[in-house]
Amino acid sequence: MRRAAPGAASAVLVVVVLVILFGPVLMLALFSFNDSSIISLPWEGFTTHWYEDAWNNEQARDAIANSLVVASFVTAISIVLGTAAAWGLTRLRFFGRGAIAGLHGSVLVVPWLIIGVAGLIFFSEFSVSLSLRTVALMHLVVTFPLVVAIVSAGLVRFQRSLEEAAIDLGASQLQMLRYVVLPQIAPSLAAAGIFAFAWSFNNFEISFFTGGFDQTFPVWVFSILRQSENLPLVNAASTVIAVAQIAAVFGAWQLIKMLSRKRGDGKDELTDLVTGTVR
Amino acid sequence: MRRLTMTLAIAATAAAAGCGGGTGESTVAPPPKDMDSPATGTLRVFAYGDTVPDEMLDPFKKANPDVELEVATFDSNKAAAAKLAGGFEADVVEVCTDEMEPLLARGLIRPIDPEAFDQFDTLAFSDADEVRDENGDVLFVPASAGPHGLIVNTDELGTEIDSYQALFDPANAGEVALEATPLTAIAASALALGLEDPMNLSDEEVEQAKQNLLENRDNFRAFAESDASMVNLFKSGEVLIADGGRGTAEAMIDDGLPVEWIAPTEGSLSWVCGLAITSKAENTDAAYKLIDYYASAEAQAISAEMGFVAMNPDALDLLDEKYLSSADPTNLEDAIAQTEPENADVYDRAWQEVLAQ
Repeated sequence: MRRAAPGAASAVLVVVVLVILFGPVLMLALFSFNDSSIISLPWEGFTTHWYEDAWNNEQARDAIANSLVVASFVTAISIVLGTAAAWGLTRLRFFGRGAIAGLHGSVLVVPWLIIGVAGLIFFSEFSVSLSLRTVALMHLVVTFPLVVAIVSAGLVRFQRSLEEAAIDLGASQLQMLRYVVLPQIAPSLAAAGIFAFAWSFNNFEISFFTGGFDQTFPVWVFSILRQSENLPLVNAASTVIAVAQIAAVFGAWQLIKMLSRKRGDGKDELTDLVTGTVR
Repeated sequence: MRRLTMTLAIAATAAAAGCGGGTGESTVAPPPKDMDSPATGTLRVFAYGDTVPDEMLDPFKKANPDVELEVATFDSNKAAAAKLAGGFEADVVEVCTDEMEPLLARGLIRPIDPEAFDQFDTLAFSDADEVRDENGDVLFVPASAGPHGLIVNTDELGTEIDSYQALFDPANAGEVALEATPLTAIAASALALGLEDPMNLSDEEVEQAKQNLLENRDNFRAFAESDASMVNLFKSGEVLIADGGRGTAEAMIDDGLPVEWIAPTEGSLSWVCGLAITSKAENTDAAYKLIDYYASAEAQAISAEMGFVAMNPDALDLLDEKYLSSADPTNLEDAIAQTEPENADVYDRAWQEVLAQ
């Protein structure tokens, strides 16, 4: 009984936090099926025609495709480079290591608007035509340090004695990396990949300033919101993207669970890895 | 906040680009020798997304199969100015009178020759001061507009209201909403006070308009941050009268609300946007041809079907009857074009004081 009250309070708190966090997104999804261009109650009837409009809008389709291409490329490259950098920063001892680590971190606190403007001026100075390539390059500037931070945290938590044991047992550096380190940091890599993809896909400021005539989804969305009549169209497209992103995160979570099970971790170990808990 | 960050972005791009942007041409762009021949080459357009949808551009592409059209979009002229000042290049840029100052200040627009367009003089706002620079050169061709007046619940308040003074009438206390933008709110207050040039108020006149808003603060139930908020206020019955755009009123009517959009006797306001040629345009021939297409009755009819006022009166002949009332350019007769005041910061501060009350 004594424990019931705090338990109930916790449950209520969790529900309140979830409603605050996800309520707006759920409302957005709900109103994407409302048969009215006005986003308000009362409910005017069920319709899917906003989805049909979004699907038939070539500019929306192109923008989503562009965002997917950029975010996929950025995620892959930032995972490879970020993991290599994180390995170097956590495993090697060299002059200026702290300064380099700090430099990585500092990018994370620079506003994206500034990074976008800086990128635009940089490309302009060197007469580089703006395109999806320049967008991806500047997205890498912000996702790379993010991946470094997340993977570094995973590597720091990882017991180095396992690496030493692998080497002692005759594994090459590559084998040690392939069979010991990567499986251990897989959850960190998956988390880093999800964040890198989401940062890139959802970015407006950098994409606007460093993009050319092929536009990403957020840039297209902002450019049509001058008229409120376009809101349901954006609602529908955004709902599809939100569902796809949730499905991707869920898929990644299942993958991490599978990898963890293979490694022999319990449920708690997996949660600890993702949430950063130290026991 | 967004306004501040974009201002910072413009300052940053201008400073880093060596106060540049204005290194392009500043003379009147020469029109093509033959306006009727199809455009060729690459044409780069920088505009609001809802100005360049496929249905608007497709007829131009069909008539000009050899032109390669590249389109980039922005969410404000401030953002556009920041990007152009930073080195982004386009041939045609959309400008709006209430936010084009950064584009002019950076010398990013090249005057155009109105003689190139058969129908320029018939377009709404073509004779407005805001379309020309201090030398009388035409800066852009008006392509879209949206009148801003009063939205009234006629079931509750009847159809007699025709003045901004109704917003400040104690009889409507607690049932009034204002759009939460400094320019329109201060302008509505100024017009209600009888001040005739709401886009060029002196600091003292802005102060008068502010005092009018503060003294009647209890009249205002809400300051609507968006069209959707305004619609919700009317739908819930909290608000019976507000200042607002004709498009917002049309959305309410479509939703079954008993409202009417009214052009106030003091004059309605209107945002006005159009197409201009950039100072660094490379394909001015194609730019002229695209602008000519946007001014045509055909393009303006498409624009009207998207909810804008048809700037070319000939477009009315091409429209279905259901679009005629909202598309009719006479809606804009005597309308006051919204422009960015020289003392815009005074307007902003005054409005912040009203919000803080």
